[in-house]
Amino acid sequence: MIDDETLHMYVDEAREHLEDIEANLLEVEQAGDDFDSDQVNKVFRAAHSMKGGAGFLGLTNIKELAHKIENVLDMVRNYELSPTPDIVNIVLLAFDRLSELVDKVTESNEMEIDEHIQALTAVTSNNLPNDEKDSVSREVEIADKTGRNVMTISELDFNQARKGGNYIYLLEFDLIHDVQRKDKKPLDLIKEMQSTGNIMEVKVDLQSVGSLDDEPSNILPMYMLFSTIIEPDIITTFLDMEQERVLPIEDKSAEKEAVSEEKSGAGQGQSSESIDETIDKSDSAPDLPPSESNAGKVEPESEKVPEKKNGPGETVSKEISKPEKPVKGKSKKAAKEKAGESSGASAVQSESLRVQVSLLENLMNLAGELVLSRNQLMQSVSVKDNRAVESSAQRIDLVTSELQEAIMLTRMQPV
Amino acid sequence: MSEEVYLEMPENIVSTATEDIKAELIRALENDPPALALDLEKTRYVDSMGIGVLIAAFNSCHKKQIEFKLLNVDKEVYELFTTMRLDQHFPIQPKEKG
Repeated sequence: MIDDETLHMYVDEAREHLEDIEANLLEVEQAGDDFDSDQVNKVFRAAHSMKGGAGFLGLTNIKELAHKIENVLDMVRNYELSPTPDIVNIVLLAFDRLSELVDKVTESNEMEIDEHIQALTAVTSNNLPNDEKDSVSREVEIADKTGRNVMTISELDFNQARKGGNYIYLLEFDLIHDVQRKDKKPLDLIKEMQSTGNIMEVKVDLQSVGSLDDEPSNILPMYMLFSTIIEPDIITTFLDMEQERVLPIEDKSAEKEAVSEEKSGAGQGQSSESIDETIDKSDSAPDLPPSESNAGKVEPESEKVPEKKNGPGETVSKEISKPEKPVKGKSKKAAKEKAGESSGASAVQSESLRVQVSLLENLMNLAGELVLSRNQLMQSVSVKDNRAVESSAQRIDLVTSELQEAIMLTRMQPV
Repeated sequence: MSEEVYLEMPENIVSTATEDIKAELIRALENDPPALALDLEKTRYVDSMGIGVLIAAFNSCHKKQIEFKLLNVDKEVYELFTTMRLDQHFPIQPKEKG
């Protein structure tokens, strides 16, 4: 149970985040195309933190609204979108609404946010590069190991989920075995998932349950499309699930672009394509041993900024393997910018990356904080102090979000 | 005889109670009512078996083209059901705010 104190802490932190946003956004608007990307980043991080905390606390409206705001700000900071007065206004209004939701946090899930969601979605889809525009309405089919289509989601959601350095997995739960028999509660499972990533879509197989006339079913299959920064080599341990129930989903959108032109006549008709690659795909290396010498497998994804100019003085050339998270595919933006370049060529761009020392220090600090919070958590669990557990968990959640951010920043280079 | 059937669900829709709940549901559908509404006002907790029984009830209704819906669903239970996208199959009404 989430107690009032945890909720209270969240509200206080959210209010702090919200305080400076208006001032920052107005400055960005006034600067026009010369806006300071640090400022946009600040606002982005505010939305991002609010989204993360909201997810943990089951504040779905706050989470959704923060997510949509985040999408718009992400495009601005990637120079995919110009912060015009109209757009800044839409974001400001959305933040106002977010503020109202936070003020009435316990009712927030029942409050109206449709208008703002629509406006924000329109901003992103109107400003996607032409070939991405359709990704809003195009769908991606997600298939299980046998190739059977299990669910579909919009291509935009799929791509956006990948952009944050996230991995996407198709998880196959059996609510009876995985939950009931392990003495877990279904709602707890959901909350656990929400606190470590984003549940993109869920599909319960109703048919297999049978009807009242049948014997009570001993299986209740549930598929979940889940995005998270947790890597493939530890996800199964983390979720306490068997390898065969966890299927990493590859991103083939870059290949798709090259391929779909060839295939346009070949009977593929709709743009949806089955995406069911396994880890063994040649352009990725999730099994990389966590040693720094393995820089050969690093794919500094250039989706944010194509040129990697080195900053003056302080930049240090460092081979970063683990924190780089070799993302298995390229976003459509990268594919577009390298007009027509096949995904094979763009798969391994360079073997090292220059990153500012300050960023690395930040990463180290965050990692340190994460370790502390984890220790706190382990301790609270062992003495079964629920309140302490919840507060450690919230701390871990926030630190993880910050860590995720910091990692993304290591890939963003000044133009 | 064609009236919507309305059944109150207990506080815990869990494995130990599913047999009884199932029997009640079967009885409720005996006369092929036009609709079956389950009131979850008192329900605070639903476990996996409980979810199974509710889905089975929906399946039975669906087979006989009986409308199936859940009413007055408590916040956490509602969240569970919506995350599982059950609301895409049948109407689930959250509890009204007092």
